[in-house]
Amino acid sequence: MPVIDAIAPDYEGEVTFLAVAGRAGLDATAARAAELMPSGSMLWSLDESVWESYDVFGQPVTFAISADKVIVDQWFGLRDEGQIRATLDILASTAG
Amino acid sequence: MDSSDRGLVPQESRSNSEGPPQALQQLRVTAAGALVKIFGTTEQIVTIVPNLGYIARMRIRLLALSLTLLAAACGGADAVPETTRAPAATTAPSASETSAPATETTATQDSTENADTTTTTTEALRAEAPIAPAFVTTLSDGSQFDMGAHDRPVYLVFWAEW
Repeated sequence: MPVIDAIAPDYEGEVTFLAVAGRAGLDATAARAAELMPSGSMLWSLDESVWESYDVFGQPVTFAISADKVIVDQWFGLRDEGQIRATLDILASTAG
Repeated sequence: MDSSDRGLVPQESRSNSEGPPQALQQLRVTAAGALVKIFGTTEQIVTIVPNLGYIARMRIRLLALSLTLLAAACGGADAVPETTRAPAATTAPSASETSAPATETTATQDSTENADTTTTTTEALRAEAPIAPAFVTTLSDGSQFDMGAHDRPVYLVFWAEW
């Protein structure tokens, strides 16, 4: 998450970063979010119904969704910065 | 005619008339002995040659057998790749034709490619990838995020504080 938070400002206005938390209480999640996402470039919520909508049972799971709502990529686990940027470049190219 | 007085007479003339002198006889014996020795050696060689030929033939047979086995092995090695290569050759084009977008996608995601490849990849993915489920969630600041109404790409991460 810190890696994503560091990258997010570079795609400001092109890609929306949304972190949907689950499996924890709001206070603990808020405290952790302040620690992991200090840039303020990422949005976050605590909503397990979204987990269910996307059939997510573990974490971290990431979905790369294009501007026209197509899931361009999805994966479980971590990726390095280069891979994340490559995916974000693809997403940014869909912004039209 | 005294042959001893004409020791310097050419051999041909002497042999025709009186026979070889003793020194010449000895020389001839010596030469004959040498020839016998040589002949004996030659005979030995002649005797050995067939043995060498036999050995050589055996070696040639072994070499031929080895070469045959080697050729068979090489032929087998060639045959195996041919059988494996042939499907690969027939599969590869079809795979590249049918699943080219997926292959390009992986390559593109693993390393940054040029814009053309990215565009092609994205278009291919759009054609095959599922549509993201729409949802509305309340963000930490109290605002609403409507996925269905959002008009930008979304990098959506599911996470937990632990």
